[in-house]
Amino acid sequence: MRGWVTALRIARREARRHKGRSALVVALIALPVFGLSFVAVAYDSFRLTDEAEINRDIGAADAQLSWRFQGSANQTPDLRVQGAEPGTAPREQPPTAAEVREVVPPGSRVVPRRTETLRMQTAAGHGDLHAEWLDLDDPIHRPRVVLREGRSPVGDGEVALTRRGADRLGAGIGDEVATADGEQRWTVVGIAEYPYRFVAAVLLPADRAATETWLVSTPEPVTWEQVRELNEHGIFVRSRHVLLNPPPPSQVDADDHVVWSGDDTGETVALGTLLVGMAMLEVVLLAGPAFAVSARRRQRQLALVAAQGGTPAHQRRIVLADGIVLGAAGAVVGVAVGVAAALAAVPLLEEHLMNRRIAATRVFPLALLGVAALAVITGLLAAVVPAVTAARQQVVTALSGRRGQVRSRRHWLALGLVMAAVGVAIAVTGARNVATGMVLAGLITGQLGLVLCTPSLVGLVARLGRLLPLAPRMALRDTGRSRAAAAPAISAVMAAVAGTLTLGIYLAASDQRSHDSHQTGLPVGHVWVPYGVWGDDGSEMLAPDQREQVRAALSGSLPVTAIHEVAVPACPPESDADQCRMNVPVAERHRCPAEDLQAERVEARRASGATAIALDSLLTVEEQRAARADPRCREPIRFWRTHLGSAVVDDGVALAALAGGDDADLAAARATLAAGGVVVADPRKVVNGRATLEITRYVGERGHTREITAPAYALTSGENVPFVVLSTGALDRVDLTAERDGLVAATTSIPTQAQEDALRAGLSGIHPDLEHRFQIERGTSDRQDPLLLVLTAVAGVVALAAAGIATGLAAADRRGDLATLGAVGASPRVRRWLATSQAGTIAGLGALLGTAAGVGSAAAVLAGLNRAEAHVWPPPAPPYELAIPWPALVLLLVVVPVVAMAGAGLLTRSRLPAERRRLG
Amino acid sequence: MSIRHGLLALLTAGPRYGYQLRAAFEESTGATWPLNIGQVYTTLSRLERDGLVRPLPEEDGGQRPYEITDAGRAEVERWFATAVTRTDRPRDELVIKLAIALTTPGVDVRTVVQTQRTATMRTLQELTRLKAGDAASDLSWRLVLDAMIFQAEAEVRWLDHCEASLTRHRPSPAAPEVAPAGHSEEADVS
Amino acid sequence: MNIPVLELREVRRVHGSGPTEVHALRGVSLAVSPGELVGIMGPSGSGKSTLLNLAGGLDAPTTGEVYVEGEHLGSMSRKRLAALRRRSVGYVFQDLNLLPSLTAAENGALPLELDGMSVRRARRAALAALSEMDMADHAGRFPDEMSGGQQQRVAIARALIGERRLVLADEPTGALDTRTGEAVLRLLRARVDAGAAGVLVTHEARHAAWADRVIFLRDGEIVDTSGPLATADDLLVR
Repeated sequence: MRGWVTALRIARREARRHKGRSALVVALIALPVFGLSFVAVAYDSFRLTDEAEINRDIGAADAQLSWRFQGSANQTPDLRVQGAEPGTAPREQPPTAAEVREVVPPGSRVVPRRTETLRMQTAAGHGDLHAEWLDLDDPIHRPRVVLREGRSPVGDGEVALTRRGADRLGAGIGDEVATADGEQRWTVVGIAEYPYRFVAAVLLPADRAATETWLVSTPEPVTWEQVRELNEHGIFVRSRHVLLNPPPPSQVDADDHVVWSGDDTGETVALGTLLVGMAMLEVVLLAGPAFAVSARRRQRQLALVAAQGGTPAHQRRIVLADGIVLGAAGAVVGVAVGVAAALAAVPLLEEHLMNRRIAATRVFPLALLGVAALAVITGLLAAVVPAVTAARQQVVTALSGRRGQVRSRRHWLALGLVMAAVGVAIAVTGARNVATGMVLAGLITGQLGLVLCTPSLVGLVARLGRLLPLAPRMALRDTGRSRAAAAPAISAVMAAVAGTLTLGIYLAASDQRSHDSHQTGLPVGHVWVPYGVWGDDGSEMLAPDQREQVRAALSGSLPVTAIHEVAVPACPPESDADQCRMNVPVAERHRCPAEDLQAERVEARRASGATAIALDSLLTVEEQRAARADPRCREPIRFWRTHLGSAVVDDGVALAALAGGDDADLAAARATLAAGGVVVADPRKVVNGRATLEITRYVGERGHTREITAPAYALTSGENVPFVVLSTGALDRVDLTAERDGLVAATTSIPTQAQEDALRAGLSGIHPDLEHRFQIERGTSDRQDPLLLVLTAVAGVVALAAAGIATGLAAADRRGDLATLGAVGASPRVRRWLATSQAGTIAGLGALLGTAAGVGSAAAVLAGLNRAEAHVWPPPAPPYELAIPWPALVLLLVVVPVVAMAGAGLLTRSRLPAERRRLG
Repeated sequence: MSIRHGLLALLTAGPRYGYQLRAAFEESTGATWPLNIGQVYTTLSRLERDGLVRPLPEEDGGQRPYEITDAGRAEVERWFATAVTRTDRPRDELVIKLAIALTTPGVDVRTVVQTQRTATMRTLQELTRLKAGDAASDLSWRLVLDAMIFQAEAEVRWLDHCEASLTRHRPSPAAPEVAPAGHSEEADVS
Repeated sequence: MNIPVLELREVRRVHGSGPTEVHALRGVSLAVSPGELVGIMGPSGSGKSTLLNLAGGLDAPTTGEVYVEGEHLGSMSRKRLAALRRRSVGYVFQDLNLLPSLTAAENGALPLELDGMSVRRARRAALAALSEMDMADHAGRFPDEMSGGQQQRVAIARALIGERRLVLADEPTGALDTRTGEAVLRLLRARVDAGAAGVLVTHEARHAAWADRVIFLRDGEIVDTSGPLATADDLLVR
């Protein structure tokens, strides 16, 4: 212990003596701690406990009842599956309070929860807003809804808005708001908020009208038994007690409640585990070099201690004490700044990213402690390496100030390469077997292997400098010579870049995937306005002048590039058929056998009276695996959505607006149309350039189907639109005519809410029903986990800062060389150039290696994720593809070195740095 | 030369007789240059001959004090104002000895060098010990001691140099100039 | 005489091997007794520093034996060697002598603290050693705040702290001016006279002259020794 006192004293004093170096070391350790603390605090603050989730859904009530059926209904405790026996009649009238009171335990309080969508006059036009009728002062609604400003609306003429609602309507307290038709008007008296979900909403005073959904406060918690009893009445129950204490599966009638087989098989790659593991690796790779970078500086000091009889243990202790002092400082600073920044950023995150309030201000002490401890321990372990080197080296060599062996050891390179290879092998195996731990181990091993390779790599690069001008040449040589300082700095940059890139690629890939799995009906942003509307006398078509007005409304309110009139195939007027349908089936040889099998089973289940059928539970695991191996069964389940019918008639004019696609593909498609063919999106429908057209004419209930074949082209580069484009030539061949059906507007961007509101208002003026009919293709609505975005952004910041700090540390170690250079007469410019080049070398190499490591890691992670779903058929989504986020990549590859270089250039004094006394 | 000037300089403080002069001289130079009384009187008579001093009437104890003349004062001033040059000093026996040893067959010059160096080193140690012994004695004595120490050191360094030259440069018997050249080079000692 | 504090027997040291082989020392024998200061002179590359490093166990001889306080260094583990340096041997170098982050007193106390003595006792011992060097007033200063001479005094105080009896000084006056250097040597001399043993490596005869015995090294060999002084009365006969 006594030795520690001395060691700690030396460390403390050293830290104070070299303030700059200490600050950089502290900063390098603090950086990853900061980043992870920030994310941990944000995560924990936004995390909803089970209790909070219930509060969000039903406020302070004990249960929420939804009375939909007249007969018996069925539900799972979590209401994920709910339904009724076939033939059970839904209620004709919503229940009244008296009716509800009869079925709930005596002494219960029942409060109606009536929600609707109200079409309002918005700031820009007409818009649909969520509306709820409730007594804002009733504690049963808290904390689901809270009043923020003003007072609760009472009486018919008053209303409260949410902040978003107020923005949408362009109204504040005291203003008047009205429905789109202007029939109802209210004065805004308060601003309220759904803390768990920021929505544009209108909150109206409670009315006593009957409604389907009721909140109930019971004297005793609502048990699963009671839930089952209420189910008998046709009521679905969301019970606080049951959600918090779910009944054992034996009590849940499993037969009717199909559980998705994809869940909980354990065969998934745990993204969370991977993230935590990679974050830890990053902490290790950033905190580790913090000490290694400046190890050489301390060798003389340690040698001096050795000369006074210090044992290797003493030396280790001194360096360890250094690690404790600076590591602890770094951890504390990192945690403090991370927590402070996260708390300061909470309002921004709430408003712009999460769209809800934090659940509670929580700092996730366990995670903070873990991160801090990891940083300190890593710092310590990393500090031991120079200590061991120092203890092992010749004291005499260190004392005389000669640089130690600079030639990198062969076996380190060999070990590094072996580790990198083994790491890749482990990660690949892990990905194949969907073993998260193995993937993680592989990635860590691989990256550590790369770290071991850096000194040799630096040596290699140093040789390339022969042809460069003085400053970069010297920088390369110098970096090569002082590998002890350069390699750790490069490793730090590498780790930071790799981490950011892995996350970035994952985000890009899952964006791509959700885009791929989204079934668009039109190219994203395009708008469809049909001619067919619902008038006073039933279905009717817009008059020609109205159609012109629609065109005007479209180009008046949206960023429109083109508007096309679209026709659909219809029965010829002289035909006796009531309805004509056209279908292009998947070619027989391309049909997925599993689909037929699935259809068969669905029929069988229906026949046996199943109420809910989960598509993914119909096939056995072996059948699913076989299906996945079949190239014909690649199509994933898509959310089926189409704005238009299943076929349109076009000779190529509107094709681009309808389906998108690149120019070459479109040209080929147009050529096919000109030749009297058809265009489809699904290549499985085309065999040898021809497709089968099935035309079914219905007379009454009876249908008559005719098949012909026609030239066909699969427009694969376009949006995966589900309809068939028929040329007029093809139309003639199938004896159908074209009927004008509506307008499609191509836009330059997705219309904003205001543009949509304006369009809605404009269309409502043309025909009252039109504002319900038009559709905007908004593309995928899947959003990334916002915390992942935060993490990626933070990782990027860390990467930039780490590059600057690590290069700064490495440069500090070589200030003496700059002084020498100045002494022989190098101009300040040359010296600054040299410093800049050194920083560029280190940061550039780090960024390059980091890119390799990041892309590799992401590939492994994505492969693992894909593999986890590989045996599930139908595929829940298309597989992840390695989507490189080029802007981010370029940013990292270019900006990281540039930032480091700029920093070094600015920090290099143009004055001659008076070399410190050697004693110092 | 220096005894003559030294005595003359001592007389500038006032008239003195022979024994007083010897005592004063030895006090200033720290007994490193022992004088016998005969030397003092011989020097005094030479000074008198050159008109730099003149005898005063005999005192009670039969001692005859000497007084410096104006010419003598001028000479003292000139002496202090002039730098001592090597050529003024008597020929160095050691240099001559080494030079001759190089040309004399059968003599190991290295041994000569080492013997001399050991001796000089010992002198140096003794002088240093003297100096270490009484740090409190007066300044003029210390300066003299330092002068001797530096001279001895210079000699050791010169001998080192000779040795190095001998080792590097196996001389033909007809290369006698090596040593003296080295000596003059090493003359300035810090 | 007493048993020597330091003894080297036929010590050889070869650096490197093959064509780059350098014979730093070729069979050097030397004994240093308590109360004796041995000067080692020689041009650069003559093996002076190697000899000093061997004497303190910082380096090991290729052949031959080194004894400190009668103990054979060659048979010691690294740990034992470190302990020996803590307890028996004090180094004084030309520069880089003191740890810049420790005060004078803490520097002096370092070997004792490393040896496990309590901070307070070690400090007391260091203060005592410093006051013997007239440095008690500077106990709280950092090396940066002291002159070169003061730093060397602290180094000597440290070299002889506790039970240490062997000072190995490598050009201790190299970075100092003549007068300060002399003062430092005077202190070293005084400490040796008080019973320590010292080895003083220098290339200046004037400094070596403070020793009782001066050894001349050339190309790793002792070429001559100015043996112990005879009685020092008759100095003026030259």
